[in-house]
Amino acid sequence: MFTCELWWPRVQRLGEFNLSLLGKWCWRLLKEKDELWYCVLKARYREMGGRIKEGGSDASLWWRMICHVREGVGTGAGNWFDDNTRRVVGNGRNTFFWTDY
Amino acid sequence: MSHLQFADDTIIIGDKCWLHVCSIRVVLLLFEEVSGLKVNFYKSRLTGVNIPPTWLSEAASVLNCRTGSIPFLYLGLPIGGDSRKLSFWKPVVDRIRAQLSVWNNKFLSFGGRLVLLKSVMPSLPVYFLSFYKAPIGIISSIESLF
Repeated sequence: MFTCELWWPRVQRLGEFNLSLLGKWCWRLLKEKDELWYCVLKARYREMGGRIKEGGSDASLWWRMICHVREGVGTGAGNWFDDNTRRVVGNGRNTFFWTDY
Repeated sequence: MSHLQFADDTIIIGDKCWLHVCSIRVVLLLFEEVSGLKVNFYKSRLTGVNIPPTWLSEAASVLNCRTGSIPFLYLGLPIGGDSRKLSFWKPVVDRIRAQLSVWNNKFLSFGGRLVLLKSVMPSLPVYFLSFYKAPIGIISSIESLF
């Protein structure tokens, strides 16, 4: 007899899967600065140095969560999103000298 | 008044006043007349944010629809729910469990069942997981289902 755990492989790592799907939002925050959903967030939480601010305790749960993913809060892996994204300076129009890295 | 419209789901947002209730009614009826499409008022919900339930049910009877409550579903996602609560994820877990119990009855080989699991099961919670962060308890309980 073999037990379930022995031959039943883990289908996937759901926690990391969840994080990577949410990381797509952070990616889209960088890529889709002209889209309506970005403008809505910008109007609600205000932009500073090319990043939308986190907002206080009255910010929506969803937005706070996306910010946590962006800053790598509670993942135990540091700021994995910023560490693994690269910014290419084009004509410098949307590049911020002090805050972009 | 404002609205959100995507695919087959529409949200109309307005203030708590009879003028807005009446204009929602008028706009929807005009829409029916112009387009020839019927609005199913029975499937529509009137949901209030900090509005007394008596006023809400009165307005709902004017609009000929039912009252709803937060969280409500928009495009299959619960709006206004707390994703940190276990009850928020209950529909997801239930759906996976229901799907699994159907498959158990089918006469699939072990390999076939594995392929089915690996290809189909992870995609069930994807929609939820791409919007909300699941608590660790939910993640482990979904993983234990697989």
